[in-house]
This record gives sequence, structure tokens and C-alpha cells, in this order.
Amino acid sequence: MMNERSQLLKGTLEGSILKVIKDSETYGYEIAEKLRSVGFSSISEGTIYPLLLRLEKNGLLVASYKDSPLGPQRKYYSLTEQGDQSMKEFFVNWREIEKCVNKLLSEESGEL
Amino acid sequence: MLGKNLTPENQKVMTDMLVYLRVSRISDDCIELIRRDLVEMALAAQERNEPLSNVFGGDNKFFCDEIIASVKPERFKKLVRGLPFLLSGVGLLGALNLVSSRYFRQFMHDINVHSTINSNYPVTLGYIVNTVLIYAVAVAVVQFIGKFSFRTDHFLGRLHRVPSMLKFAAGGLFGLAILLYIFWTQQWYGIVVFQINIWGYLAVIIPLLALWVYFFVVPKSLSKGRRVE
Repeated sequence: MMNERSQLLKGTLEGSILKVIKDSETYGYEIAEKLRSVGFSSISEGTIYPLLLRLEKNGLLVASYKDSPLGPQRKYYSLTEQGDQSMKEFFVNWREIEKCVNKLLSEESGEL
Repeated sequence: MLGKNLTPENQKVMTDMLVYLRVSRISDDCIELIRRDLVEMALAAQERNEPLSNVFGGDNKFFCDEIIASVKPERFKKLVRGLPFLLSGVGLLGALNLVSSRYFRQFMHDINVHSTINSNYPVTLGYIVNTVLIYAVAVAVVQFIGKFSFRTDHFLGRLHRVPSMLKFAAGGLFGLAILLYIFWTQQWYGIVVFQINIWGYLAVIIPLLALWVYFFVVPKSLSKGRRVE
């Protein structure tokens, strides 16, 4: 059951991260906090850091360093055009899949 | 330097992760950027009085594997960047081989008695085999330390439980094996693979030896451009 949940999470986390960053330029801890605030309870900064690296490597994000109160500079992420396009595609796909799954669940709701 | 404000416990976690990352396929430049990010994340967690397990997820090896999988592999770049260090080692081993050789003793004698110097320096099978072996062992040790960086406490704990006599015996056997190897390969130093002009040899070895001194002997504060940890 836990494995199925993590598989579902893997498929949706990148798109969700793009959406958070689309709203405003932000950094890792803030992104994780935002995701936790909407219900992604098991998300930590470490969970999303490799994803942010991958998104940056693939050109969907661009990173810049800014001063932080703790000393070392903090890495901020913003969306590229390609990232914006990818985010829109994710949500189109998500809505299609969501519609199908909800329909399936409502048809069989008596059996669950 | 960035991590000096971390607690000793957190320093250890960061060190284990960075040692593990350094033996991976990620280039050193990329690792340096990742190191900055991780130290910043660790300091922020420390400021919030949170354990690093809250940030990195508890399984540091898994976290590092995820990072390695997410970053473009740059093995060739890493090899090219490491080449000066490798070659400087050749300088050191070449110089040691020279000064310990029969040729060098003859060379010095010929200079002292103003006799004709034999300019053909013999490169022996023993020198070639032992140089390759030293490099192979060094690489294997570094890789082993890196890949098992998250298990050093576990390993040291088990080692602590081994009886002292057994540790002494194992160390003695290892030393004996090294001595036997040295005796066994002594004859290889008599097998000349090829000869090289001594001045050409010195023209290569001396700059490489100087490079080795710069990398490993000169204090970091005196060598500009070297990365300060």
C-alpha cells in the first residue's frame, strides 16, 4: 500500500513543485512547507532537493543564489518558459486522469 | 568553512554524505555546489532546532543516491580534473624509484670520480608493476572509504569488539604479506623493460614532483586557488 502511494507521489510531485514555483520565486524549505500545507504530509526538503536538481538539469527551472541570514547563500528557484509549459501539460494530464479515476470510483462506489 | 557552525553530530552527517558523493560519477564542481546547498539546508535545520533526519529523510545513503541519479554524470570531466593529481603521484614514485636505484648510486659515483655518465636510465618491470599496484590500491581504498562512509560507525563498533590478540595477529599477517611481496618482486627490479635518457626522464619527473609538492605539501593557506573545505 505504501509502495503504491509513493508511486503516485512520484508521478505528481514534480508537477506540484512546478506549480508552487510558478506562483513565486522560492527556495527548497518554502516549497516543502507549501506542499505540506496542502496535505503532502511526508514531504521534507530532502525529498524535493533531488527533484529540484533534476528539474534544473532538464531546463524547467533556473536557480540563483541570494544572501541568507545564516551565512551561506540560499538557492532560489524560478520557472523557465519550458518549465511553465511542462507545468501546464502536467495539469492537463492530471485533470484527464483525475476525471477517469473519479468516474471509475463513482461507478463502483457501492462495492467499495 | 561553510560548515564550521554545524554541531559535531551534524558535521559528521555532512562529512559522510560528502565523502559518499565525492566517489560518485558527479563532477567535483557539481559536488561543490551541492555541498553549499546541503550545508545551507543543515544550518537552517539547526536554527529551527530540527534534527537533520527531518531534512534529509533519515536514510542519508538513499538521499545521496537520489541526488546522484538526478545529476548529469560527468565521469570524463572528473577524470580530466583528477589527471594532474594522478600525474603528480607519478612524479613522486618516479623520483623515489630513481634515488633508490642502483643506477642512481652508479650515477653519483661517476660524478664524484669525474667518470663518463651512463645516460640510459633503466625502467624496470618492478617499477612499472609496483607503480600500477600502488595506484590500484590507492583508488580501491578511496572508493571503499567513500562507498562505506555511512557504515564507518558500524564497522568501528565491530572492530572494537574484536579481541586485541586477533587484531595484532591480523596486522602482523598483513605486514608479513607485504614483506613477502617485496622479497618476491625484488627480482623484478633486475628486469629492464626499456631504457630512457636520464635527462629526458628528469625533465618529466621533476615538474611532476613539483606539482605533487604543491598539491600535498604546501599549506592550503599559501596555495591560491586550492579549494578550502
